[in-house]
Amino acid sequence: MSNKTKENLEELIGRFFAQQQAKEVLRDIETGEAVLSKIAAPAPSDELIEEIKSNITEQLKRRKEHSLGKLAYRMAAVAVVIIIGVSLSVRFFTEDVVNNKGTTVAMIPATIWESEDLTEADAELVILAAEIADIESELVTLQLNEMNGNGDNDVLELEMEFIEIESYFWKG
Amino acid sequence: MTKNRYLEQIITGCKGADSESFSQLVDIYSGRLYGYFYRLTGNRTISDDLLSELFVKLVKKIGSFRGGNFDGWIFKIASNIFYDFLKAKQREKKLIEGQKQLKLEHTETKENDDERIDRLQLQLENLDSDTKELIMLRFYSQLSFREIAEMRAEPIGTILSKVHRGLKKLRELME
Repeated sequence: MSNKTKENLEELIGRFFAQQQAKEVLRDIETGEAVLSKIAAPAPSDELIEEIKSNITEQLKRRKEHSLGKLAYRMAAVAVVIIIGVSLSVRFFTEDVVNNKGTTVAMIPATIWESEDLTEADAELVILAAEIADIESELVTLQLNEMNGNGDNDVLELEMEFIEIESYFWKG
Repeated sequence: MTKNRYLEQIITGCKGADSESFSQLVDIYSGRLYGYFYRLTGNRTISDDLLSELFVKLVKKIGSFRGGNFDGWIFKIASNIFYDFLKAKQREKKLIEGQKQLKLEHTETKENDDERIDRLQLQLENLDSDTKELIMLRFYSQLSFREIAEMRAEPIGTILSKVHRGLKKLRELME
């Protein structure tokens, strides 16, 4: 893999130095490296090599355990996501939820939501609220009259009032 | 089987977290790497630590080796470890009161280690750390000037010139 031995040092030096100087440079490099070769550096002790090898084995073991733990965490996270997803799907797609949604919409008069004239829609809401308040008070009165045995006229009057409100809203 | 093919198989084994392959890698490279660290630090205890640190890093980083020159790759890690050590030592120096005190401490450590400092090691101290590292990188990694230039992101002419001046000086000192 390394190319020091394949390297053409003479040619390389020749690219940077004049011919005479190139020879000197080549000689300096070769003799300098020969000095390094003559005096060898100490080798690592056998104890050190054994220690390094056992450290590597230990490191690999820990890494394996760590990656197994990581895998378990990932699987648990995926399981939680699936459970949440399924429970949300069940909640949104059951019939009850769909029905409840329909009922809620029907309670508000469609004309109010569809009206483009906000001022008029607001005025109608005020009137509607006032009418509801009147009906509530009349209901209370009715209950009191019923308790006193005199409720027939009031019931008739209340019915007339409902008809009037209905025709007022739906005819505009 | 060629040397390169054999090394490729070992590297593949290391990537698969095979401890036997790592052991083989330790056997192949520990001598050269230890020589590199020893010639740069002149201290066996420090060289022991740096070599151990290198193999810890190797286990972590082997997955990022994408083929090519493995000698260049492993010696690049060694070079980074040495420069980190040098930086830490410089920080340490600043904490110690004076240069004199530091020299005294250094000598004491060497004597305590009972090390026999060879003549070459003494003369290497006369080279600046960058030139010394470059010479040792070339000698122990067996990389070509072109490969060293690529590794250090420096022009090949600059590398050639530094190595030449350093080796010339060393030869003169040794005469």
